[in-house]
Amino acid sequence: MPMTDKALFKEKFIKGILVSFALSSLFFLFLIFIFIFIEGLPLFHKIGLKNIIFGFKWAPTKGSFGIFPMIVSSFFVTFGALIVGAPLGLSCAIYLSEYSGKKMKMFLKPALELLAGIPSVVYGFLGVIYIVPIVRDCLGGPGFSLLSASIILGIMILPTIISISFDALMGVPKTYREGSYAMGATKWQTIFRIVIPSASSGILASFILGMGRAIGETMAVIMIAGNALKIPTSILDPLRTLTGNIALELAYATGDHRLGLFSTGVVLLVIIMILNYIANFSIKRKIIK
Amino acid sequence: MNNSAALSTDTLNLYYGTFHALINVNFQVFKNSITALIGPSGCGKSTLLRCFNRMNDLIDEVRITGSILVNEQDIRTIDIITLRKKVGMVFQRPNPFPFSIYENMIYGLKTHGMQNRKQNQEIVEKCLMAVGLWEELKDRLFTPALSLSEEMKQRLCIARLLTVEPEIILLDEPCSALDPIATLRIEELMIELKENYTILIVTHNMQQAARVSDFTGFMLLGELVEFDETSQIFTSPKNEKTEGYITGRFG
Ligand SMILES: Nc1ncnc2c1ncn2[C@@H]1O[C@H](COP(=O)(O)OP(=O)(O)O)[C@@H](O)[C@H]1O
Ligand SMILES: [Mg+2]
Repeated sequence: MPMTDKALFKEKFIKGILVSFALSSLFFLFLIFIFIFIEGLPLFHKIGLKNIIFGFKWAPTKGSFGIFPMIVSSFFVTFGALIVGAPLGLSCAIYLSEYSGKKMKMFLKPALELLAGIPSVVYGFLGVIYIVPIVRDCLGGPGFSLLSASIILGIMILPTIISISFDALMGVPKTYREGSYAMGATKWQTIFRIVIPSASSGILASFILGMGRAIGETMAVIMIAGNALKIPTSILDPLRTLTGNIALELAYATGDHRLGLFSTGVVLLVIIMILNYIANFSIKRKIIK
Repeated sequence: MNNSAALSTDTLNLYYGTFHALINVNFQVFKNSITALIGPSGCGKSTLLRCFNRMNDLIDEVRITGSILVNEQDIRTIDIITLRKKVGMVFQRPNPFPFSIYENMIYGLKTHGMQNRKQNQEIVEKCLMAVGLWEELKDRLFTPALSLSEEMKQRLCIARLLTVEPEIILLDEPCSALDPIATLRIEELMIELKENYTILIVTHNMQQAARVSDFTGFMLLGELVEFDETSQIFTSPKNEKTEGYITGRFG
């Protein structure tokens, strides 16, 4: 049936609306970047890139804007989260893709989505109520610590790691597995020597995106990490992350102090952009291959 | 040619759930011969082939009755790893692993616990030589196997199999992804390998069966309709369905 002019116009109109909605998300992203960079960059010019990024002292009302301890702390909690979340998440993804039956998959997938949907303040709350006292009582220190934050963040990044690793594992062609079994390999050997290496770039991407999620997490970290302004020297020391710094001080900051927080945001944004770039790169390399 | 059966089945029936895919199949493959299975697509050739190394075990809902013998021993009494080492398989689509050529070649060796580097290198050389790839690949053993041509990939898969010293090789339409010249070369390879191995090949290509095999089985709708020497099947088939298929009246 040929389309009437009116129907055709309607098609075009709907398409136009959809395109403009799609572009608006790009536009917002652009706006966020512009806004943060406009507010954040002038201080780099005034104080000096080196004094901000490698400065040890954060006393914004006295003209010191060093965020080095926070950068280091952010990386510490991120790697801590990875140490907790990566083995757990990968094991879970392997179980889901290689061992679980259809029923188990149908039960676990929604459970994971629920885990992803729990607000971070709830994670923070649980951390304060359970993890912090346990760490304090068993290992000493204030309890509000790198270790506590790593554990909670490790759990928070599980959904990201599991779902992306799971997709990568499921994407390994059946023919590879068959080839391995046909050579007399056991299931375990097939998983470890064929399936995981074949899915390695996707698994790597899941870890990196998990790191991106961990480094950007704010509320739960503020509640558990203790927010002390120094580089932690043990896993039981409290620390303050880049995100925590912004969230804690923005409410009352004015003048250069406020700009300093935007500079913190610029550094955070750049780190996250780099992580995303690496994750995309490792996935793309796989596709090209 | 040796007269004892390397593979045989006795009233073999296989069901996928409720679907009866193999019906009372009695079949033999003699040692150091090439046996071809022909028949229209969907008649159960691959299913029968996959019985001999228990690849059907990977599929849920498969039920098997009757017996399957490898070297006159019931395969249910053979440990599955030993069985798959002894009965190797080459697939329709070449399936090298996404690693280097060398890693593909030593996969089976490592799987079966052979760690001696020097010995493994010798085996790799010997097996690549057996499939005619050594001269071409010896200087680039560490390049990705996926960068090879389809024919070379299939040769590599055969070589990879030879490293674990199988006695019997199952090939499931090994040439269907290859061009005619590559196909002929793989056929030559099969004839060379016949000296040391027993070969069972599934093919939808009747000329191929006629060219390479000593025995041919014709399957139709899950039944082995006729089994005989290849020359017999192609010149004077006993069953009219076989004749119909060979003369191209159906299938
Ligand atoms: N995993 C499976 N589950 C259910 N039915 C199957 C499965 N594999 C094959 N079959 C059916 O069994 C029959 C024989 O298949 P197959 O052995 O692959 O045939 P051929 O190799 O001769 O083309 C076909 O009808 C096919 O649909
Ligand atoms: Mg088939």
